[in-house]
Amino acid sequence: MEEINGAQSIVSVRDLKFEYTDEESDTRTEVLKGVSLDVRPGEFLAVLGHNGSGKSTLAKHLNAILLPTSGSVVVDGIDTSDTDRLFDIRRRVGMVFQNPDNQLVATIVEEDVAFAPENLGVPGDELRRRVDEALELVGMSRFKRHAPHMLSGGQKQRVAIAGVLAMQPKILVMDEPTAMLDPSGRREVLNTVSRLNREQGMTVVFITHYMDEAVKADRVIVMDSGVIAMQGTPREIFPQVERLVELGLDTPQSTYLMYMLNKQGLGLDGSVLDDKECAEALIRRIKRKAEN
Amino acid sequence: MLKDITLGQFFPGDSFIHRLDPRTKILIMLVYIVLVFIIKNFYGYAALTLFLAACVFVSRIPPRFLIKGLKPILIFIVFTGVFNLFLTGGTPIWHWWIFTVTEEGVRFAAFMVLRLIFLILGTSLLTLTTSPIALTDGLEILLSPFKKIGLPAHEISMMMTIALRFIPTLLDETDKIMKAQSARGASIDTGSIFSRAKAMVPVLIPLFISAFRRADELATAMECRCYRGGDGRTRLYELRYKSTDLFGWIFICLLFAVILALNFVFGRF
Amino acid sequence: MIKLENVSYIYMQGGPFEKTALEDVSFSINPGEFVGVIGHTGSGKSTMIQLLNGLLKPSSGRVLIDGEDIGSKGADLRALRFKVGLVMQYPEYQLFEETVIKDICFGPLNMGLTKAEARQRAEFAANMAGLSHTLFEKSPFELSGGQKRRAAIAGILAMEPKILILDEPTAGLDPRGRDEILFKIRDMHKRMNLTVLLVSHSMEDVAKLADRILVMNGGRVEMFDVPDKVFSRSARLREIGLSVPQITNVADRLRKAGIDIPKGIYTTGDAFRALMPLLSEPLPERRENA
Repeated sequence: MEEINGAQSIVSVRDLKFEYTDEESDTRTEVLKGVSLDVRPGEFLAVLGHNGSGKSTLAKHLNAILLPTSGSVVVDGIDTSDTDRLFDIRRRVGMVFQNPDNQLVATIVEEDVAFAPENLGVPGDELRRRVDEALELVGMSRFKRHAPHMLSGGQKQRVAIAGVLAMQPKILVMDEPTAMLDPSGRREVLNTVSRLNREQGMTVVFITHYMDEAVKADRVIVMDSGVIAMQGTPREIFPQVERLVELGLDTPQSTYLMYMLNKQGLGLDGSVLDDKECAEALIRRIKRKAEN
Repeated sequence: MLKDITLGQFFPGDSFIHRLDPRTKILIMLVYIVLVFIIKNFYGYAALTLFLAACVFVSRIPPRFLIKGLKPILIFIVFTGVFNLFLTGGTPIWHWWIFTVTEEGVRFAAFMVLRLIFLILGTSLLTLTTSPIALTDGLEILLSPFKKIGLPAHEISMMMTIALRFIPTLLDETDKIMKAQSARGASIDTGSIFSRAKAMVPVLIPLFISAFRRADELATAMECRCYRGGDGRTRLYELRYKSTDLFGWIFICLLFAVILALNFVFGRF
Repeated sequence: MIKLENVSYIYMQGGPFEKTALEDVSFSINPGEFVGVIGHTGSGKSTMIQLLNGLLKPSSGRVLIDGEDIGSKGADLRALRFKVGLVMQYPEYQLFEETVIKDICFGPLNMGLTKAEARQRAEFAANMAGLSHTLFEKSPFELSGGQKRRAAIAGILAMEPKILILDEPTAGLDPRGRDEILFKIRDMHKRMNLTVLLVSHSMEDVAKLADRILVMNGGRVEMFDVPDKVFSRSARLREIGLSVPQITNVADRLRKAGIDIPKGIYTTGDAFRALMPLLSEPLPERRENA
């Protein structure tokens, strides 16, 4: 893995703490308890964690929807607490949320995609071009004159992605974008995002509690009670089955099978991520045994 | 029942009416509403019917679809009719127990019912042929001169856009919650009117809570997309008057003249 | 117990947006059975479960619950709904009372039970759903996502239905919340002798729990069989847009590579048991050969 330093990273979070005060009971809740994190340009970073682990709160700090109680968040060289540059930050960080219904503003797909650049005052021709490009990138051009409520969940979520792409952001932050979708919708969104990452070099921060969606990530961080509990490549993280279960997560069945077999002292490759790798490792072992 | 509401729905198309500038359509609608109220006799309504029928024909909207839109307010129409029928004084033509129907009552009831029907059909036609975005854009521009006296033109149009966007979502949601509570034995689709009304509480509370949650999430999503009010906003579709708008204007002026003439020639009856 | 005879359902019949959601569906479910219902969005599974407790009436065909045709004129739909408990998708959106326990009492009170009886049932149901009594007097809106979900399920359970239908009860929950709910559902099934229909997108979940799996596709019943038989047709399942458990894919790949592994592997436990003999220390006769 290459060296991470502040200058190279596009997002740099330093000892971020966030707490809020419940005004009725006057109790303070610390949601983030000192998170430090760097995101490299072009990276696909998956953020995992059970509900209430602080992962969504972390996401909301990346585009100044929330501001740190202490510590700092710097996005593309801009400190998010610099209120004068609020829109410079938001324009750079495209944010997509869980419920596709609650983030679409307009009644026609292309009008919705145009919403952000309209707010930014992008002039006519440029606006048209951005909208068409954004819809093309998520494969929704065909639906540009449709009403959002007639689309499937996965399609709506792709429109939401197009809506932030039209700002031409540098980072895409997805806050559990698949939690409310069916399997085909989940696939649609995941494929769209990983294609944007691969082909457009888009930096992606993907928050989820589905382990299988983190398989393709370059790097995984696991949040728990407001701190980063684990960090590494999927291959480093997934085989740590016991630790993951402790943190309220599960592992893909393939990885879990290897873990169970290895507990019997079989010494198989525990870092398999999918059915193909798992089957290959097993076949190798069984064939070798037959040869002996 | 909830699915019958056509008011506020958009029926995509590419007809002459669809292509008119929304500002033209809104202003024509205003003239139309004035006409509905100043018409003095049934000849006037005949002329208005012809006008509306021509518009519907040109717009290629299935008339059935338009008429279905009257269903949800049918009770209101009937109520207005009955109310005016029995409570207007004048020359009695029919009497039973405490009920008296007068000649004036019949005429007045018929007028009121016609006015209501024409209002609903006309406004439905406007929303069916105009995309909500165009409608709110048009309204925003038409209202913008009043900004000087403190009218929040942009905010009004934004509110309308969001309302229109969320009507189908909230209707769906209402339907789901009604089903969920029915499944727990709430008497929403069975039982007396009284028990049905009482059963709406378990529907309305979750609906409000959900609407607030949605509003909250939407506000955040809008902020994330750099929303900061109407200043400095550009538009995907800038409105421009076209030559066709002139035809619209000529048409409505003609209608206005015809109706004034009919009022003048035949008077009130 | 549940019997569908040539049931069809058409949305907005006669209108311009007419849509056939179910077409000539027939099957029957036995008392005490645990049935998993699988199908992608639009396959007709949501329509099917709404027909089972009379929220929708079939356009044609008959739906029989305990031998009674629920579409017939005299059918008592409310009584039916108490017998067939339906937990809709995202059921926490139906919570409305001031306290959790009051909300769970809503169903039983609608049945005409006294407050004391309703309370007793509600407490039992809350227990079954795994809600501790410290939550009873809280506002349902203060609960966590998983707790809300369980409170809503308890609200149905408190009506003591004979049949419990759950429409994607784990949607949107994190793995821990999902496992808790599934565990509770299995528990209810066993301890209350319920007939359960579990609608799910997750083959893994259904495979673990169901006696039989009903696969819906395009408004028709595609398969209705024991999990072994259903998963043995993995190619067809993929064809109609459904996924088989990842571990079944692993087993399929092994079999393709010529490794003798039994069919019907759909949990990691199955795979583990099948693989251990193949992988563990060489058998004695092999040792002699070496």
